[in-house]
Amino acid sequence: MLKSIGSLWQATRQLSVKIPRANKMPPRPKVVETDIQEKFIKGGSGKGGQKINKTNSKVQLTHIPTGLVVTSQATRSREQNRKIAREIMAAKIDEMENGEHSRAAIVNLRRKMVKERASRKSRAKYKALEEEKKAKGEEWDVVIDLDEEQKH
Amino acid sequence: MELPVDRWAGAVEERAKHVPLQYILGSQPFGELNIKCRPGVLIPRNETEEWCERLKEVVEKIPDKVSVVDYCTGTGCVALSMATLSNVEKITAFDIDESALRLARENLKLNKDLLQTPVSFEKGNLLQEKHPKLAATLLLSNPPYIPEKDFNLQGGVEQSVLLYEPRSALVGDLEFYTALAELLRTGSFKAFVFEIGYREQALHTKKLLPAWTCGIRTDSHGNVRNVVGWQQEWNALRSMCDELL
Repeated sequence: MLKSIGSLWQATRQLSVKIPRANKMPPRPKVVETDIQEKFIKGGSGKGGQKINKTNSKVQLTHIPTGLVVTSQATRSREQNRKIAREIMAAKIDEMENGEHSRAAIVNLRRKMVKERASRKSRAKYKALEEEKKAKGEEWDVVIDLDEEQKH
Repeated sequence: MELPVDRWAGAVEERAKHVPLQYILGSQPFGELNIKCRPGVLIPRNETEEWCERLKEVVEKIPDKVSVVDYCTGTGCVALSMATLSNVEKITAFDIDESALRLARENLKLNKDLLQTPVSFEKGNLLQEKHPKLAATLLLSNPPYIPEKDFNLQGGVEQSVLLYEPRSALVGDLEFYTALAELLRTGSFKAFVFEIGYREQALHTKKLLPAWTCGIRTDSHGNVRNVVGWQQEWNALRSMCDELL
């Protein structure tokens, strides 16, 4: 195990380091229900029920211990938005508490590592091709030389 | 996207004429369900979704099997929402309107993978008929509750509702709660939750049911939204109330 995430990233750039598997990422963080206050945001007048048919599916969560506020109106479904808002909130708290060891940071690092490995492979491949070409080129030079010699 | 690109321009025009978005798109999410909507049948409201989700939390903890009757079911949203619970064994839902019943049955099919209980949709008129003796534990209803005098813009009713939603699902008052109370007196119910728009509708219901413990539930926007009542064994419903009557 490497000392820190930062040095893991340094190492990935320079040499080949084993990239953690996608299914070995830290679990998705969850919010503690008793730590949050939920509000359904609605536009328009104070009336509701049968008098109004506007869709108001926006959800706002406040994390009581930190005061962090997130909202979601990603979908027309309030239930979906409640789930999405909780995911966003959990990810933010995880990032605040765990910094470079948070799930988001580790997932992001893995993405960078995969990209780096791909470009390293690609660099190596082109380098090899280049060398092969060079080598062949030299052979051809010889062939051309031979042709010219035959003409003479 | 919910609508194909070639229908966007038409949809914008319709919306500009106050046609409800749910009639344009043809649906409204309701809890985990997707409820099909079409003109002639009242669109499920967020406030209704809210109390149904809350009620589900209470009902799923009831140790016994629960049977449900739902009056004025419309799209069927309330009845179908209860049918997602595993301890609910039977649901009968009534509506006076044939086109509502057809839509409710379509919604039953559309959401069948999420349902754990059979639901039967039947024709029933809360105001006129001799009420059948209903053997069920929980009576639910979202009856029309906007009094005639308030069924206008001054009364707080949106243009979109006035122009495009069925009046018969909206205009009503104490008479519906009187009829519901009558069902409670003659049936074997242990608990009820009705949607309301006005405090008087809750007080009226309580007055007709002296033997029941009743309370008022306020929705997330601070408006009175339900009158709730129960017998001893359904005391858990107290947690839904903001005020006891």
